[in-house]
Amino acid sequence: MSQAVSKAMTKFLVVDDHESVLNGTVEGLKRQYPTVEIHTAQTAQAAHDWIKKGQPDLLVMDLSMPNTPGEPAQPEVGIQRLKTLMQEYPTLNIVVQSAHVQSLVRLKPAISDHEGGFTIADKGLPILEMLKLVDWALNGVNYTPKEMRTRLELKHEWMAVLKLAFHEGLQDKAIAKRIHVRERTVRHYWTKIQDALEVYPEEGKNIRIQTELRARQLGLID
Amino acid sequence: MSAWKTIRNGIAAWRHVALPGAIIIGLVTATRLTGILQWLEWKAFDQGLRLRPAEAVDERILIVGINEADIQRTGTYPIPDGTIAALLKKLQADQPAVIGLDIVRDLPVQPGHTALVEAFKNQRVIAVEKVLPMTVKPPPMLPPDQIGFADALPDADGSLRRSLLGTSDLQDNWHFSLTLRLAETYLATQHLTLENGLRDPEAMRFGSVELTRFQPNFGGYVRADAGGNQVLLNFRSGHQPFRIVSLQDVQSGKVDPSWIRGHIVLIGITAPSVKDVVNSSAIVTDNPGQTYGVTVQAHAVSQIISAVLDQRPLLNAWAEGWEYAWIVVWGVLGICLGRVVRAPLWLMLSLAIACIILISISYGLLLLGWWLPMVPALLVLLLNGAGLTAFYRYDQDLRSRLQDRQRVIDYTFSTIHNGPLQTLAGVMRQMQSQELSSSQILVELQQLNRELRSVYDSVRQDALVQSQQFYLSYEHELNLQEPLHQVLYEVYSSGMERDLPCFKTLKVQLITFEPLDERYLSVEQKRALCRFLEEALCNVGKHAIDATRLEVRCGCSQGRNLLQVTDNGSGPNPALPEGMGTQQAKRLAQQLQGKFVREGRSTGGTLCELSWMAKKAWFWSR
Amino acid sequence: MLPSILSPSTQRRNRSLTTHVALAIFLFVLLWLLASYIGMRRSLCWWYQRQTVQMSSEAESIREDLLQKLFAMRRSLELALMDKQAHPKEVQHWLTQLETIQRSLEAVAHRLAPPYLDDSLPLAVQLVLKEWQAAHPTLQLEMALPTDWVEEPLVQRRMVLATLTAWLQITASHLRPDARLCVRLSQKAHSSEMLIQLTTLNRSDLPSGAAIPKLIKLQQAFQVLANGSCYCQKRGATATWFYRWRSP
Repeated sequence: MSQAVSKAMTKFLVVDDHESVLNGTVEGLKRQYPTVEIHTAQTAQAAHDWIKKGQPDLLVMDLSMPNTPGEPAQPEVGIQRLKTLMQEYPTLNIVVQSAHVQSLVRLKPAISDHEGGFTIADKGLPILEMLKLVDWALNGVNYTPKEMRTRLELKHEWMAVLKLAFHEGLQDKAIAKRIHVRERTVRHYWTKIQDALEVYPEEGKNIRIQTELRARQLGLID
Repeated sequence: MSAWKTIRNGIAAWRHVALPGAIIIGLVTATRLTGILQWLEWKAFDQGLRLRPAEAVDERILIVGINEADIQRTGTYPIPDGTIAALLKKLQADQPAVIGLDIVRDLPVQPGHTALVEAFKNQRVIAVEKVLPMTVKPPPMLPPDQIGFADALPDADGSLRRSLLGTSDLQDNWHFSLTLRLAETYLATQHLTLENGLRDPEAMRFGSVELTRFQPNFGGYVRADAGGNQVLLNFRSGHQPFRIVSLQDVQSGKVDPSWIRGHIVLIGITAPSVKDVVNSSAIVTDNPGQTYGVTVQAHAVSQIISAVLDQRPLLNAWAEGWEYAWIVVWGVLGICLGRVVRAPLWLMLSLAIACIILISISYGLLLLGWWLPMVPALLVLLLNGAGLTAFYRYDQDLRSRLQDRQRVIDYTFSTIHNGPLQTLAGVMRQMQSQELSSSQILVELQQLNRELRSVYDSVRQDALVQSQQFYLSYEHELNLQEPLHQVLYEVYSSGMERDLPCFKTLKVQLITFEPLDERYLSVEQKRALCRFLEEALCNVGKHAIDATRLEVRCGCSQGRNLLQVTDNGSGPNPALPEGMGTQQAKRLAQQLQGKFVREGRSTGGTLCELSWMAKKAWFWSR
Repeated sequence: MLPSILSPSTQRRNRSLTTHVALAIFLFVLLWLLASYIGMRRSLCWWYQRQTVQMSSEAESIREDLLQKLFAMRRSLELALMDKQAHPKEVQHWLTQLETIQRSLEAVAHRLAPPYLDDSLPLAVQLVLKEWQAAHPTLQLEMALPTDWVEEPLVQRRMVLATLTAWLQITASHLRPDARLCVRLSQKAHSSEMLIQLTTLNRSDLPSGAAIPKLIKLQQAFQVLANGSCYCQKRGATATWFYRWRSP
């Protein structure tokens, strides 16, 4: 294999402290992505070290895990580590697979600022659902489960993007110039807005139009 | 059998509150028995007597008071026998029923002693002596029948409340008091004689009215000296209960003869320089607490005469057993109130009502002549009602929380048994007999997963909820090492989770939490900012009716920090008087040398904002 | 009818002495009531917190242990479905997995509601002690549990068993391997008693330090919640705890 090809080789990192769970997840991922390199780690520290070296394209991580081997597993550890990782690698696509999704509420601001894909998969989901969420994360989509949101919550910048797009009909590039950010940031804003409005990629539907319909439905633009 | 059991259960349930209540009642009773409460009871008693409506002037008694002016005119002190003899002659000319001379005349005071001896020959004069140490001899020329003692028995606090009617002296001779002699003589004119009591052979009786004797534990007294024949003084209420004239008035003939004819005349000194005074706070006087001795004699005589002739009530008290029963009843009432009434405001109200009822009953009965133990009853009522229940309410809360916990445990146990364990058993059975295909197993396992999750959620929910009640607020858990805007975000999210009425209509929340310039903020100021945000959100939740949009901004631009909460509800007029939250916000703004604004917006809704420049405080500003 | 000849000053002195003594006693009793109440409340709070922690740990065990195992099982099942094969060996493997899950779940249920408690206190105590002995095989255990036992109300029974469990947990870290534990249940006319006796080689091996205040709080919680009484007796290297309560 030449260097160019090995660079195109996608790498996943799956982190969980229960070995059986790890095997189950890895097996599932292998079915959907047979050509991807899947690595595993069982502690938060090991995961962080690997990410530093390996630069994966996708991180699938549990929340309840120990920092180092021998310590008790705690959701706190996973959440702190996730926060650090999101700060250090803002473009990393992340799938959080946990039975503990309520505690992620604390990370909502960090999630809103994250530029990569971010999906939350409850461990109770069937494997097909989980694989769909993995796919969304790889494509940069944001998904947070409904229970984490009580009401529609938007940041002021996202509101500005909505207004500029649907009131004045501007395209991403023009919007980026108007609000003085990069065009890529505007795309991230769109995924956040879509997650807040609960609009997700569907077969055969234009997601921007869906966003507009939903925004009008909720009375955000008139 | 079941009735007995219910009673026993009821008693067991009340035991925890009743036992300390009984201890309090016992304590107060014991305290009363030692005599500590006497002072309080006396004071209450005096106050009650003072507050009685004024009675009419007792016209049967006339006080001739030799006041300061009279002494000046006479020129010498003690008043010479001659003046007194002249006075007596003048009075006797108008034929009074009896004259009482409340002036010591054991030794002659010239000039005029012979005139006095002459005046004393009249059988209607009674003079005074003192029989208890220090004794003072009476005028020697009078027969024992015309002598009465003027000994007073003040209480330990110095006030006079008892009237001594008769006593033995140190040589075991029986003497009657001036009061009794005067009363006896006067009542003889009404054909009533002094006899022994019917109910109490040692008491005194006139006609059908028996003068209840004072006992050692009478009313609020504890182990008082009840020697001799004493009665409680039922002072005649009113500012001027008796007619008082001065020596001058009599000498110049200004006194109306009808005031004297057939009545009792008391002669005594009413000059402040002589200090023939008695302490009593039960009488309304010009000099607080002090009354002339002769006036008190008048009260004592008037009480007996009015009791016999007008049926005016004498002061009475219950037997000791009934008094303590009364205290116990009010203590039990205190326990009941504390146990039955839960809300603290209602409890205070009902305790106040009970106190008012107790005081009214005591006052009312005092008007009828009965002295009730009001102070100890009030004490047990308040101690049991307010004191104990405040304590044991907490105990009940804890117990009920423990019971709730037990219920959750039982519920969890039965849920585990009826849910996951059953599902598991079913799946295993069917797998073993190979009745299920893999996909069906999968469905069963999904079910099992859901059941276990719900058990987990409920157990954790209970543990979390309960532990939140022990942590006072987020303030204890706030990690103030984190950047302030993240902490504020946590405050915001936990604030929005509350179930406040106006949150229900909210549709959109626009938020921005950007880093603040917090270099010069103290920990206390950071906490205050969190409280401000919480308070602002709370106000939106409570007052912003029909709000559909909520905006929260936290950020720093050009060195100016901003924390802003806006809503579009139709809340109350911001011009209303400010509550504590507004005052705290203003104080915080002052501390930070910033600006606090709460105003209505032109587009509808309210804006609540705190902004400040990030700079070092030059001097301490509180 | 002699009036009292006692001079006023002596009377006053005597009265003030009794007054002061009585006042002092009054205040002392009030303060004692207050202190005992506060102590009792603190013990109840402590007991409550203990239960909270226990509930939390139960929840955690469900999550950490059971749910994860179940997840692994489900994934392997789903994968097997996707591959459209189900080896009998795999089915056997799943069965054993399910059995482990079932055992863990039953253990959780046991901890929440100890078995036999509804029927017989001695049996429940026996089970707790047996489990404890299995966890500490080096420690000598002596049990004296009567077969006939007049049952007291469920609340009391629960509290007695919970007290025993708490006692074992509190002293667990302080026990040396050569200690001897004796637990005896006995019943008299209207009172029942649980005796816990700990014998160690040296006096210094008896529970001390952090365990003592916890044991005291346990005693107070027992007094309030089980309507009983308890006291601790120390003699040489043996410490005995007597827990007594009324039985019908």
